[in-house]
Amino acid sequence: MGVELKLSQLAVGSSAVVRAFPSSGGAFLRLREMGVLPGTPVTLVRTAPLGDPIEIKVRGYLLTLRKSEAEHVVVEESGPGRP
Amino acid sequence: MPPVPTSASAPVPSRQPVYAIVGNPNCGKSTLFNALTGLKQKVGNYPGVTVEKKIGTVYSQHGLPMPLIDLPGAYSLAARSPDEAVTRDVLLGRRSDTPAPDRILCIVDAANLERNLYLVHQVLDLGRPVILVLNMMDLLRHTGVGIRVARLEKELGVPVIPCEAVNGKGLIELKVAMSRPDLPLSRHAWNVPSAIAPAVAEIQASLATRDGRPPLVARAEALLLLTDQDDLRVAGSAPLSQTTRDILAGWRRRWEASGTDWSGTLVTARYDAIGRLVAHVTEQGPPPGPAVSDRIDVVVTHPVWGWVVLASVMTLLFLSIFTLAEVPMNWIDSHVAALNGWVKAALPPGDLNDLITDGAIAGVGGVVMFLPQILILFFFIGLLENTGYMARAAFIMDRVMSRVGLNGRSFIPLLSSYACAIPGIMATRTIEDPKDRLTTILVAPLMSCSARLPVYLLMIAALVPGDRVPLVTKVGIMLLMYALGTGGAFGFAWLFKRTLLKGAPPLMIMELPPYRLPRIKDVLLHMVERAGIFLKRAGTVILAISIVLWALAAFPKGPAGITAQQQVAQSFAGRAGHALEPLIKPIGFDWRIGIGLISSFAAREVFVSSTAVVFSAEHLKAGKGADIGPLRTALRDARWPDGRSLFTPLVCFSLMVFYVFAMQCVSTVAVVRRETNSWRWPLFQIAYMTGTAWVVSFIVYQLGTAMGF
Amino acid sequence: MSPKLQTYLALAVVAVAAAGLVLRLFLKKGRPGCGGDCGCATDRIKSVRGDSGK
Repeated sequence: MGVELKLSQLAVGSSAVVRAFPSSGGAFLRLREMGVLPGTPVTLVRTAPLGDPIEIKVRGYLLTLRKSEAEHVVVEESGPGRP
Repeated sequence: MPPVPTSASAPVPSRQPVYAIVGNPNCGKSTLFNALTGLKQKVGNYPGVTVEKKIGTVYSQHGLPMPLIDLPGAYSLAARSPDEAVTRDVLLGRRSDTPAPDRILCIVDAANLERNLYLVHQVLDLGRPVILVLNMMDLLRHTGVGIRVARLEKELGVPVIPCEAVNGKGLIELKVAMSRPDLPLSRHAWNVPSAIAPAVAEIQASLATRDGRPPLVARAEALLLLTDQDDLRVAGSAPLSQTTRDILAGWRRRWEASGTDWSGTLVTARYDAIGRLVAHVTEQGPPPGPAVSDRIDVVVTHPVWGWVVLASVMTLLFLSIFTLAEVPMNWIDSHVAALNGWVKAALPPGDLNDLITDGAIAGVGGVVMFLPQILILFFFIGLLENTGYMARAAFIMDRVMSRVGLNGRSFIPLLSSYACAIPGIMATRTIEDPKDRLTTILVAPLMSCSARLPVYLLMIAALVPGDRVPLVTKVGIMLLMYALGTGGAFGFAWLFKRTLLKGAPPLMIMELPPYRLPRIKDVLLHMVERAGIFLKRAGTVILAISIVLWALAAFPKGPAGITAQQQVAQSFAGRAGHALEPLIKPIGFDWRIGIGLISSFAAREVFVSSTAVVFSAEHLKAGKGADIGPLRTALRDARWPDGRSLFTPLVCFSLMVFYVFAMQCVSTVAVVRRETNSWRWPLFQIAYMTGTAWVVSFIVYQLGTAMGF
Repeated sequence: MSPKLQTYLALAVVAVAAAGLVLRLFLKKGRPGCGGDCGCATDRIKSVRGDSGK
């Protein structure tokens, strides 16, 4: 059972599994349609030069989102380096 | 909830089937479309929406033409932008101007199967024959993953064609599949989650009876409607019946009250099905090393190196514009001059002679001369797009953009505006937040478009006395102008987001496609296309304007024996210019420049043409030679009535600055009006931009004069 | 070609050019799009921001 934290707080290079998600709001629907769902593994690849936005690897591709958006996604850390 | 009927074949249509091609962005759909249709494409617009409508013709195995509609890229049929809304509406048969296609080509990025299959999953619900195209098989090889095509075909029940659209591999097999007289309907059986099943059944029934949807489409649409939280409606798509809307609203209320996560449930159900499918049909080979793209990105998005790369790219672009274009420019210049001289001598003197030489050739020639520069600009932008760098640029710039309240996604429309604001403004369609979008539209013309280039270049040439000017100075001034425009755009964006268009900072969710080697052939093809468009514009609009301008300067004719200067002064054009003069004298312009400013409203580069007409007319009539000569000599000789030089370096500078900010270009105004659906914003845009232009020019000129320049 | 004839011909050309411009202005209002005039790179723009895939 890993630590639960916000996606925005994840350290660069570490992997986690999505746990919780706000259910309202068109942006979050789109995020889910892009494959970020409870139970999906994600990895934080990098952050932009100024720290925002962040880039995650999910289902084999790269997705960027703002920290302010990532703040609403709760993930459970699963360890560094696992894809 | 019973699964979709299986293994039926679609009835054979009496005519050739109409195909549509759909897919995620960045899956190579356009490349495939081009490969299939060649040059047999027709581009237009969907009535009522500013989305491009592209239809091509594919020839079947037997040589029969099959229409192929290129639908805008979409991640899902739950549309988040007008582009996606059109794709959804066409597929659902909601648009009266575009009937639903008979068959659908679903193109997926084979290296990105799960996410790409989401859209396919939705499309399969429609119950129409589908051909699945696995594109980018070449990139898949690099990931070490293998797809068992036969298994996939069996699971889905549709033909699956592996493809490498870039190389043309798989195209023949695809055409063969498309030519089949009968295609199976997919074996797309999946169970709607029980939580929402009753609602789906009810909506489906209502859609079938009240809205006239075929049964399978009704089911697909019911699913979409129930789980899409903000239904995006665009003009041109038929609205739903009141009954259906009432049922929908009722269910939504019930779910809100009970706290059911209705949309999440469905998305999860789909992805679960997809996940099982993908696991069944793929096999993992030996894991590859870190992808090349990732390694490049380490540098490109590096906190320090990222900026260095971005700055270098921009500087390289501007440097090239100056150096590489020099020889072609001189070539064009000398040939235009020669042509002019020939015509002048070949025809007897008279108005027609003058019209052709001083009007048409001078006007068009002045603009065509800048073709090399513009080509280089478009080549570079094309190259950046093609390699995937542009998305990284947006990623890097997002933080900066959000400081002024914009989305990183605004960066690309703004960057494109360097070429021309019009496609940049149209590209804002992807910006979901309306306030954001409006702000981007309002400031996009401040990014110095390519039409300003001829003006800048002419002024820079006139600005500096000698021919041997250090390249650094030229480049520096150009960069300064671009920096002013860019700074202005950001500044005003900040201002607007703070005041008029206050709103929450927009969301940003974007995919970063892998880098790829630029397909030079593509980039060059586009460049040639642009050359054609530019020349066409020169040959038609600018030619017509130059002719009309000439007439306005040549008529009414004054008494015989007056100087050329006096002739222009009392002509229609001259009177307009004189009327404007009091307004522009404080910024250092005279009535002749005034004529140029007014005519720039048609197109900015016309300033060069009108200047050529107005000044060289005098130049020639003053007997200074049979050929047009470099325009800048004419400019340098231009004087105020009291004998002072007109085009002093300060005035040239002031003029450039004016052009940075002024809103000219009637075409842009028309596009803004269309995209914002009102006259309020384009008029506001003209006011704030031109007002700023005047004020800044005023400051520059007056301060400069005070400082003794 | 006498100067008078030249003047008439020139005026005729000008009339055609002016008429053409006016026509364009009205046609533009009806037809959406820039008419391919400015070099609409909507296709390329779309591929850049990743919407119709290249």
